[in-house]
Amino acid sequence: MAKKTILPFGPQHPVLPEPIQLQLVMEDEIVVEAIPAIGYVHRGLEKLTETKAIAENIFVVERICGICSFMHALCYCQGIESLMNITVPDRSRFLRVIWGELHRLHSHHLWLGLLADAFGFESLFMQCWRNREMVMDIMEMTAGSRVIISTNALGGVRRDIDSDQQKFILNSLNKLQEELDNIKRVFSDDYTVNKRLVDVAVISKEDAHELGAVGPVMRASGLSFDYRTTGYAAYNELDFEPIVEQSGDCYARMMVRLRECYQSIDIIRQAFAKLPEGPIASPVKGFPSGEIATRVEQPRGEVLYYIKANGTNHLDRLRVRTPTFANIPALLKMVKGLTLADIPIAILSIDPCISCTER
Amino acid sequence: MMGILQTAATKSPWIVHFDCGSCNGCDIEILACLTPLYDVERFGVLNVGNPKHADILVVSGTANYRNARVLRNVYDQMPWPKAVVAVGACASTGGIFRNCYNTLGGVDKVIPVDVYVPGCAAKPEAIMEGVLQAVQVLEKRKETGETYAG
Amino acid sequence: MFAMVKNVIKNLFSRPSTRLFPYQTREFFPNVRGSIDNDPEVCIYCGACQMRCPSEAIVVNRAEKVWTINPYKCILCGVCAQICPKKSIAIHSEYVHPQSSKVKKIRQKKVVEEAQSHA
Repeated sequence: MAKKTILPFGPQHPVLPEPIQLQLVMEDEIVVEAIPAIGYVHRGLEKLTETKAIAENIFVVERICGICSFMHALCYCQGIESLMNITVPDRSRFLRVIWGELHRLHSHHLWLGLLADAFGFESLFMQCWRNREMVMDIMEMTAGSRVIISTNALGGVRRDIDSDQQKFILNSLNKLQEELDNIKRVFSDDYTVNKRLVDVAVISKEDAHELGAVGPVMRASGLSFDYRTTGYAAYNELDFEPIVEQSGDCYARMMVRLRECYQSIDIIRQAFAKLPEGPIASPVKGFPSGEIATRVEQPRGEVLYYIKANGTNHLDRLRVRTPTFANIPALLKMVKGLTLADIPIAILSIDPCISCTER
Repeated sequence: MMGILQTAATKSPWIVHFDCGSCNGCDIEILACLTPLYDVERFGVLNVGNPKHADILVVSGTANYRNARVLRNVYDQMPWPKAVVAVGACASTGGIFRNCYNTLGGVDKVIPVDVYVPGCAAKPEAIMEGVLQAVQVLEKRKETGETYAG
Repeated sequence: MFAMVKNVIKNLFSRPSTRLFPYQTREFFPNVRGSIDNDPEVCIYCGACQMRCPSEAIVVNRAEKVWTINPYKCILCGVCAQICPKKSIAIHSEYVHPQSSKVKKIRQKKVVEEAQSHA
C-alpha cells in the first residue's frame, strides 16, 4: 500500500482553457479519487437576471457561455415565449435550427482541436481550428459577430439569411465536409490516437444512466437519447437519428462528436431545403407570468432553464442547469484508477465548460 | 547576458493566458489567434502555460473575489519587464457583469493593465493589435529600465 | 504514405491560408458589428438607447445634448441602433482599436449661438 498524496491540478493549467481545480488523491501514478474545487469563474449571473429587463436578459444568458451562446438564448426565449403563448413564425424556427447547428459545428471542431492538443498532436489541432474558421466566417456573415451572435429575440430572430448568403453557406459546408473527411481518417484510424483514446476512462451504460450523464457522454455509453428528437424549434420537421456509440471510452466520445459534425451539416442542408418564406419575428406585447422549465440540446448535452415570472418586466428567478454540471459526477467516476498522464484527456473528453457550470 | 534575454523578450514575446471568469468568448478568440488563419507565431508569440516563461499576460474576463488572488499570483510570478493585456469588455470594465455580486469589475482593480482591448467578444484582429501594442510597452520598459512598481 | 506526399505537394503549391494581419487587413462582411457611432446632428437625445442598453454603456445628457458611449463597457449587441427613433446610431464594421486607457467616445451637438438663431 503506497502512501497517498494529493496533487492539485489547476486552476491555471496548460491543458485547461478555463480555471477549475481538481485535487487528485494519488497512489503512486494511479488516481484514487478526485475532488473538484470550483468557483473561480462564478459571477452571480442568475441574480443579475433578476435586476435586468426580460428582453435584456437574452444578452445576459448568452454570456453564460461564449461557445454555446446561441443555445442558451434559444432556451431562454423558448421559455418566455411559451409562458406568453407566442407562436414563432415558421421561418424563424428554421433559422434558429440553422444557427443552432452552426454553433454545434463550431463547438465540436473546437473540442476536437483541444483534444488533439491534449494528446500532443499539434498539427491536427491546427487543422481542426482551421476548418472551424469556415464556420466562424459563416457566423460573422450571417449574424455580424464571430462568437456571441445575439440573433435570438423574443418572438423570433433578429436577422434574416438571404439567398446569396445561403449559397455561401452551402458552399462552405461542402468544403467543410471534404476537410472533415480528412480529419476523420486521422481521428479514427491513426495508431497514436487510438493508443491514447481507446479504453481510457470507460464509463458503462449503467453508470452513465445512474450518474445522470447527458449529451455525448451519455450517447457514447450506448444510451440513445437526444433532446432534439422531442422536436423543439423546427427539429420535428427534420430527419435525423441520435448518434450512439457503445464502448463508453474517450474514443467513443470522440466518435460521437465527430459524427455529430456530419449530422449537423446534414441538418443545415435539410433546413435550407425546407426554409419557408415569411416574417422572421412576431410582435411581443406584455409581460409573462407563471413558471416553466425548458430544455434544449446543447453541443455538450441538455441544458435546463427554470424561469419564474411574475407579470412584470423583471423575473422572479432564473435557474440554469448546464450539461457540464450533470457530467461532473460521471467524470469523477471515470478518473478513478487512471494514471496521471491520462487525466487531461479524461477531463477534456466530457468537454468541460466551466463558465457554464459556475455562471 | 541580461541584454540578450531582454532583446529576445521583445523580438519574441511569450504570452501566458489567464481566464478569470470570462464567458469563453474571448478565450476561444485568443486561441483562434494561434491557429493557421491568424497565426501569431509569425511574430514569435508563443502561448505558454508557465507564468515564469512569459512576458505578456493576457487576461480575459472579470476579476472576482475568488480568482483575484490567483490572478495576482500569476502576475507576481512573471519576470520583469512584463506587460498586461486586458481582452474584452469584461476584463476592461466588467462589461455586462459589472453589477454582479461576485465580480470586482475590470482586472485593473487587481493588477496594473497596459493595453485594453474592447469588444464582446474581442475580434482576433483586435487581440493581435493589443498584443503588438503590449510589445511596444515591453520595449519601452526595457529601454527605461523601469522596474516593478507594485 | 501516398496521402502524405499528396498533401505535401498540395501545400507547397497552394496559397497560404493565413490572413496576413496587420500587413493586410481583411475586409469585413457587411453588417458586422464592430463599433457604434452616433450622428450628433440627427440625434434628438431622447435617451431611449440609454434606457435599453443591457450593459449601461451609453449615457445621454439631454440638457447639454451630449451622447457618450464607453466602448469598454459596450457589448455590441446592437439594440441601440435597432430601437433608435431617428436611426442616428450606426454600427460600423471597423472594430474599436485597443488603447492604453479607457477613452470614451463623446458626440456633442454643435451649439448654435442664441444671437444667430434669432437673427
